[in-house]
Amino acid sequence: MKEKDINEIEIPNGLEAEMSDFIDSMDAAERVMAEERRRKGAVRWSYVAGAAATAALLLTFLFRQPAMPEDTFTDPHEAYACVEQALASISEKMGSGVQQARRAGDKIDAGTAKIKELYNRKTN
Amino acid sequence: MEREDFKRVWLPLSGNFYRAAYLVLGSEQEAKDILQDLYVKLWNIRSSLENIDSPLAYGTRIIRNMALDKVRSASYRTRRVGVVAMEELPLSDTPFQGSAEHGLIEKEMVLKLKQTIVGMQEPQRSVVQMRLFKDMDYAEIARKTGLSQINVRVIVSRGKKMIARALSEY
Repeated sequence: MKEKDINEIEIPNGLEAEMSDFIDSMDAAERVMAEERRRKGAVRWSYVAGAAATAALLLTFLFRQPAMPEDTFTDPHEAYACVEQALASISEKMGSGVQQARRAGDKIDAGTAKIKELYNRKTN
Repeated sequence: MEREDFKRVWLPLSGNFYRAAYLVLGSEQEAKDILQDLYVKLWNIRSSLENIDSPLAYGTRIIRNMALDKVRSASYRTRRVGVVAMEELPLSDTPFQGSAEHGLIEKEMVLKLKQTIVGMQEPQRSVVQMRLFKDMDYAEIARKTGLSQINVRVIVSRGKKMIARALSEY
């Protein structure tokens, strides 16, 4: 067809406005989808930190060795002798404590007797 | 290339492109369909179009080839069974059906977007159109609609989620 014929082809009313609207829609669709892709791909750092802390705690419990007291004796006889000595020391201290308590009790009794005597003298 | 720059270069040529398509197809509706396909293609490659010397010649060549591809594919389908058909390479860079690459716009996506917006209730439809199509900021939309800015933000956010869900199959 000749160029003149091409120019005789009627352009529909509102064609440019329709295409403008179409381009706006493409732009809108692209922006919405780009936002959605960004939102889905974003790393939630708070979740990463929580997961790391949990993993660190788990590893600590898994690999922790129970606290063992330090073994200071190699000879059992020596160890027994040491225990015996410690118990005797405790007993001695307890014994002196009992004696002190007995002496205090005697003093209290003497004092009480004195008060009773004075009271009896008064009443008689 | 921003939307307004794209429109400034390619939109005024829509009449020329339409005539080139109509010349081949002879149908107003088919010519408009092909014109939309052309704009989808140009939009998806717009970053590489900035150095085109003659947008008119470039666009006319593409739409003419697209129209010829359509005519050939239609005539190919009506050929009788048993006849060995020769391979026909498409003239356009991309097949008539359009690109299905991830992240690129397809014509069906635009139609789905429009359907989704039409299906929205007011004031969401108006608010989403103002935000997405007219690039109005939240304060402006709030002033026009009488809604609070927070309300406008919530409405736009929900509207975008609806659109994203509708377009998620593409």
